[in-house]
Amino acid sequence: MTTATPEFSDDYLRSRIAACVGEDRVPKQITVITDTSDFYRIDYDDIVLLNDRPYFIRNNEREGRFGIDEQQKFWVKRAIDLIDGSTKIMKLTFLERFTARVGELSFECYRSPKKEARILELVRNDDRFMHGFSAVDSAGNLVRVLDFIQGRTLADSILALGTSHEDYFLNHFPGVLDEFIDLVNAIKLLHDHGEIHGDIRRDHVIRDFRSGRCRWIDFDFGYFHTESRFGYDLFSLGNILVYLAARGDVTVQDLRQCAPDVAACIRPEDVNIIFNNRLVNLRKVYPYIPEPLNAILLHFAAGSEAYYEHIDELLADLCESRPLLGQVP
Amino acid sequence: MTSEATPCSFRKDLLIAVDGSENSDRAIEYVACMLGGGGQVSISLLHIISVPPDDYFHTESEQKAWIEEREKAAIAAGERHIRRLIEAGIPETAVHYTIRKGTFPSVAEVILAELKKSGASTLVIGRRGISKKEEFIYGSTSNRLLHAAKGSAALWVVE
Repeated sequence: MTTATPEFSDDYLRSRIAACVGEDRVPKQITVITDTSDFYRIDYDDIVLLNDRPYFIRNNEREGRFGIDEQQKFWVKRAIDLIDGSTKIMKLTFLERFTARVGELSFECYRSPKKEARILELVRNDDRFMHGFSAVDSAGNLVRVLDFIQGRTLADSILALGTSHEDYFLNHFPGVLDEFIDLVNAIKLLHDHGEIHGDIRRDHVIRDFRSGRCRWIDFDFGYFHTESRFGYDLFSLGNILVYLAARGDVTVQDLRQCAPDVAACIRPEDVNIIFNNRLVNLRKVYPYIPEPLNAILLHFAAGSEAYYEHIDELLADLCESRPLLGQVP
Repeated sequence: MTSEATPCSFRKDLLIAVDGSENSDRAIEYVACMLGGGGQVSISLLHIISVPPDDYFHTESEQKAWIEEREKAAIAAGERHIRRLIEAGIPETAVHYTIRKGTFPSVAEVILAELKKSGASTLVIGRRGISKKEEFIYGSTSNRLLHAAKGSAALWVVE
C-alpha cells in the first residue's frame, strides 16, 4: 500500500471523492493500492489504482443464496470509478479449486480470473451479458472491473407476476419464455466458442433496470468433466426453465401439505434428476402446460431416458414449443 | 522358447443371440475370426490423459507437474497391461502402447479418431458403471462409443 501517486495527488483524489460521493464522505487518510494480492486488507475508503484509473472502494459484496446471505466475498468489492463516478464491481484474483457437491454428485470446480476475463472480452458488445474489462495490477493479479447492473434477479422478478399460476402461465410466461430463449441463445454463443458459463443459476441472471433485458453475470467458475463438457450448463438451464414455468420451485413437501391428492400421484420419475424434492413433471400440477413444453422439462427428470447433450437440441425444442403458448400480451 | 500362458479369470463362454438374419451371420463370422484358429493378433493399447483446461491450473509449473504425474502413472499402467497380455500368450511384438494427452472436449471422440486411424476391427473398453445422474451430468464415454462406433468396429464393453 502506498500514498497517492504522482499522477493523482491527494488533493485531486479528495476532490474526485467529494464529487462522486459527497464532501462528508472524503476520508481523512488517502490510501492508494496498486497490489491487490492481499484482498482482505483492501478496505472501505481505500483507492485501488488500475490501468492508471482510481477506484474508490466501498463494501465487500455478499453471497446471495442458499442461506448464506450474510457471507462476505472479500475478493469482490463494490467500487466507484473516480474519473466518471460510475459504480463498479471489482473482482480481485482469488484462485481456488474444490470439489463441489450437487445432490449426490461431486464436481471438480475451479475459479479462474483468466476464464472470466476471456469471456468478458468475447461478450463485450453483447448486452445479454454483464460487461466489464480486466486489468493486471502491479503484482500481476488479473482484476476484473465490471459495470454494476441495477436490477433484480430474473428469479425474483417473476414471483410477483400473475394473480394465479394459470394467469401467470397464460399471460406472462410467454414473454418470460422468450427471455429465457434469449438467455439460452446467449449461452450458445459461449458454447460455440468452446467456453462454458460454469455457474448457471437463476440468481445469476439480472434483469437490467435500465434496458429491461436479462443479463448473465459471473463467469469465473468452471468445472471439469472428461466426457460432457456442457452437461452441467445444460442441467442448470433446465433447472431455471422448470423454475420459470412453475413460477418458483414446486417441492414434493409443499404438495404434500397443500395438495395431498396431487402429491399422491407424484412418482419417483417426476422429480428433478438431482434434486429429488423438486417436481419437474409440472403437468401433474398445472395441466394447462402444453405437452411439448412439459416434454422438455422431463428431460431433466429422474425418469428421463434422453438428455440434452448440446444446447442446439434444447434450443430447437424450445423454439418448437414456443408457438403453442400464444403471443406476449 | 515357449511358456505356459497364465490362466484367465474370464471363461471363453459366449452367448450369441441369433435370428438367422444377415446380422447374425455377421456376428458369427466375427466370432469365428476372433476366436477361431489362425490369424495374427495385434493389440494397440491407447491411454488417454484428459488434461483439465488451462483455467484449472494456477501456474504453468503446476500444470506441468499434474501432467507428469499422470504420465508416470500411465506408463506404469501400460507396463502392467503389456505384462498381462504377454503372460496370456500374446506375442510382445503384437502389443503397442500409446499415450495421448491433451485437453479434449470428449474422450470418446479421441478414441473414435484413434479407432478410425488404426482401422482396428474391435474396440474394447472397461466400464465402471455410472448412475443415471452421473451420466446426465458428466456424460458417459462408453455410451457415447456405443452409439458412435456403430458401423466402424465391434465394441466390447467389459464391466
